[in-house]
Amino acid sequence: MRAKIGLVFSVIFCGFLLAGCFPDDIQPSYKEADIPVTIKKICREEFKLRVLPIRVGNTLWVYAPQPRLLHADFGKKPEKIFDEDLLDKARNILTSISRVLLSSDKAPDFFVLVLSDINIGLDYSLTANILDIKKSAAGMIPWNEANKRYVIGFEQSVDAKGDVRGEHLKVYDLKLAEFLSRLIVQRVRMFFQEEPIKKYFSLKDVNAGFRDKVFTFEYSTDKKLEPKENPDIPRAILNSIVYCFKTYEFKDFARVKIRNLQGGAIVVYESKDIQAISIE
Amino acid sequence: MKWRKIKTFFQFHWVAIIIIILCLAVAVSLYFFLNSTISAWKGSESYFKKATLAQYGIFFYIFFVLQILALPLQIALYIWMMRGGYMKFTKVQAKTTEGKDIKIHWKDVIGMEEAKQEASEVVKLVTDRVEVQKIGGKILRGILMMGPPGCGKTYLAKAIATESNLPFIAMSGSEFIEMFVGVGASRIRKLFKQARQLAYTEGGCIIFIDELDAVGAQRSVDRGFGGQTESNTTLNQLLIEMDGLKEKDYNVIIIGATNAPETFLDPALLRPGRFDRKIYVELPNLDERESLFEYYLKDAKFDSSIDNKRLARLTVGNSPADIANLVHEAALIAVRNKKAAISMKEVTEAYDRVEMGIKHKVVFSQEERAKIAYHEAGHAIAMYFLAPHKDVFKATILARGGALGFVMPQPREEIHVRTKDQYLGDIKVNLGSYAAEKLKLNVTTSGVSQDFTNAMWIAHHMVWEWGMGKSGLVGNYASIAAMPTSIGVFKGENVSYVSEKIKEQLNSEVQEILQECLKEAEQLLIAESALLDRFAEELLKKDELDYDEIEAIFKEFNKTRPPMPRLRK
Repeated sequence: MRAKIGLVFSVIFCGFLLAGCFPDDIQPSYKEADIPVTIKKICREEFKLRVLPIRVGNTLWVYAPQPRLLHADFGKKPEKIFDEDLLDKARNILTSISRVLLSSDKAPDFFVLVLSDINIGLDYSLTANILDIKKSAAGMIPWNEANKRYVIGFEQSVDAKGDVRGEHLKVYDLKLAEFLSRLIVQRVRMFFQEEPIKKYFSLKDVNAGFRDKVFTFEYSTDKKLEPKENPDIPRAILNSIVYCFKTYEFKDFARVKIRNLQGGAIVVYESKDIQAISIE
Repeated sequence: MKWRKIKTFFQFHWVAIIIIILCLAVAVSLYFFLNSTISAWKGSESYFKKATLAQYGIFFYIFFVLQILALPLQIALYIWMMRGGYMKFTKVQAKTTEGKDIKIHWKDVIGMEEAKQEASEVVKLVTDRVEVQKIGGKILRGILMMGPPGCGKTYLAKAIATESNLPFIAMSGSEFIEMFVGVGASRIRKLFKQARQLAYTEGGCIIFIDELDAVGAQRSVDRGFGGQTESNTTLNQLLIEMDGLKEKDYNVIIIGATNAPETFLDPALLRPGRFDRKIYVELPNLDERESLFEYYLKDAKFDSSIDNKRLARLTVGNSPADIANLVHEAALIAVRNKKAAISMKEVTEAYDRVEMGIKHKVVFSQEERAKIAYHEAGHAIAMYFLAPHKDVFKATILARGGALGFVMPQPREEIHVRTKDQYLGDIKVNLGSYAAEKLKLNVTTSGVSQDFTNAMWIAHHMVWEWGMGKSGLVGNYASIAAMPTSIGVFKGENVSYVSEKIKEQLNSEVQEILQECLKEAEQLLIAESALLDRFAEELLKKDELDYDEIEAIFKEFNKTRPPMPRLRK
């Protein structure tokens, strides 16, 4: 009797141990081709939102025309920027996009959510890498870091007025190099929003981009006050560049140039120098 | 009665009933919950499923591995809990048996006629309880059975249970005793609770506590280690429960059995209202032993040599258990000897084995054998002529137990009070060996040591305690020979209240008795010198002589046993 119990127990135990060796039999919920339709359906049925997803290469564009983006008190009260409902809507659309992309058999590399105020002609865009969405969903990156990895665009667009079909959007297949350029710019901007640098400097001009495998970052600053101790701004910019390149494992570049537009010297880093720098 | 059973069932199992209902409710809700869960799972997106499996899979795996590691401990804990856990200490181990299932009837109770008669009366009182109450009679609460071990007290209790057809809970007194104070009392409470429940549903219950002395010994002050406190507490609870029965009027009868003397038990336990009735289960008398042999041999094959009357005489002082064991042992010997049936020889051999132990394979020299043979022959002849109250049942020169040889005496009839002549006869029998050695071997051996001890013990008691000395001094001098005093410098010490002169006189009387007895034994053996040689010769030849062979030797010399001395009327 004891031997039988032991045998049954051993079989169950081995079954549990071997369970991990079997191939994954959970089929993806959505096919790649159905991604736009599914996002549209979920937004409509679950959140009563009208969106227009467009797939271009490895980028999914999701257009969401809105009657209002800005708060009624925008410009009057500094803390009131977006319309109260907008953030909920944006969050719901992002949830729908994430759900579909995460449960699809092949997700695009990037998605761009564009929320347009079709009354005054204003575009608000969020660009994200699908890898960040996956990491965020798995809890591998903290939520504030995940938020920082959304590239946010905010610009006036006259063509957006009355555009419910997203015709004014210039959709294209976003590449990692461009995404990184925009992300680095955004992170540098954020750096200048932090204390104590915010107190002494402001970012005047900033520009970043790739040409012939050379990443060039140009900037200029305004000094508000004389700091007690001069901050190492080029170093902070370099850190942002290294962080972004390494996070996305981007190696398709020859060198990095950082140029201060206010007559400062151009600092050049070779690819191997960038690789040698560790992320702080 | 049915309604009572249902009511009692609910009363005692309400916790279990609630647990079962809760379990059913949980099972039903679990079914619906699982149903919903499975549906939800099926409708979930693949990422959610993977994420859930990834998280819970790892969690479950770790949990499972930890469980495996902790399993031995859990199993040990489970077994401990299943066996009662911490409740084990207070758990009552007794099993209830229905009276009718015990199947020991009056006809099976042999060898204790008086006790049986008393017990049957008890059964009548128990079964006719209502009638007894009607006429204002006292309801029986407790029966205390006393007597030597093996006399069938437990057997009689079982017969009472069978005949009264009541549930029977048997426990041993020692089962109440634990190392923790209060555990015994708790067990007593639980036992009586169980008994009252059975009495309520079945109309009565018998609690049988064997070895009552373990729990019913006299209470005393604890010396600081708590053992006595536990004993006292247990007894107190028993007393309370036995008293408590009166008020609640449950037909619970307690039968206690002990072979300890009555004085050993706590007086409170023996007072009326607790153990109302005492049944003395004594050793069986001659007729009862005969019946016992008939009873135990009825299922065995035995030949015509078996004489129950003779066996009854052989087994004076034996309990029914001894007799049962004797028959069992005889059967084993018969099987070993490849005999189809038990004969008298096997029974006597079994008796020797039981009484004296197994034969030793000691090889004696011829000279030593001769010494032992004359030694035993001296005993046998002295017993035959000088102790007519005893039969010479057997003589042997084979070593058994601690003896190199022996002569087995058996009282010719039950003796409860011994006379001076019988004691003198016993002394002569003991000294017969010494006289024979001196007479025939011209040397004496250390083999007489035990004989002298016995002879001296008897002579000493005759003179010091029983007034059987020649001087006419009467009184139990031994009782005052060493008594603790509370006076003067000797306070707390034992002081003799017998003068040295009296002591000297008494001791010289002891020696006088011994010398006279020795002289008489010597005279007898000189007179029966030829018989002594013949007896020793026969012993050397056969090693063992049984009753018939011994009788044959005496007949050869035209000797007959002197008659049993009778008291003058």
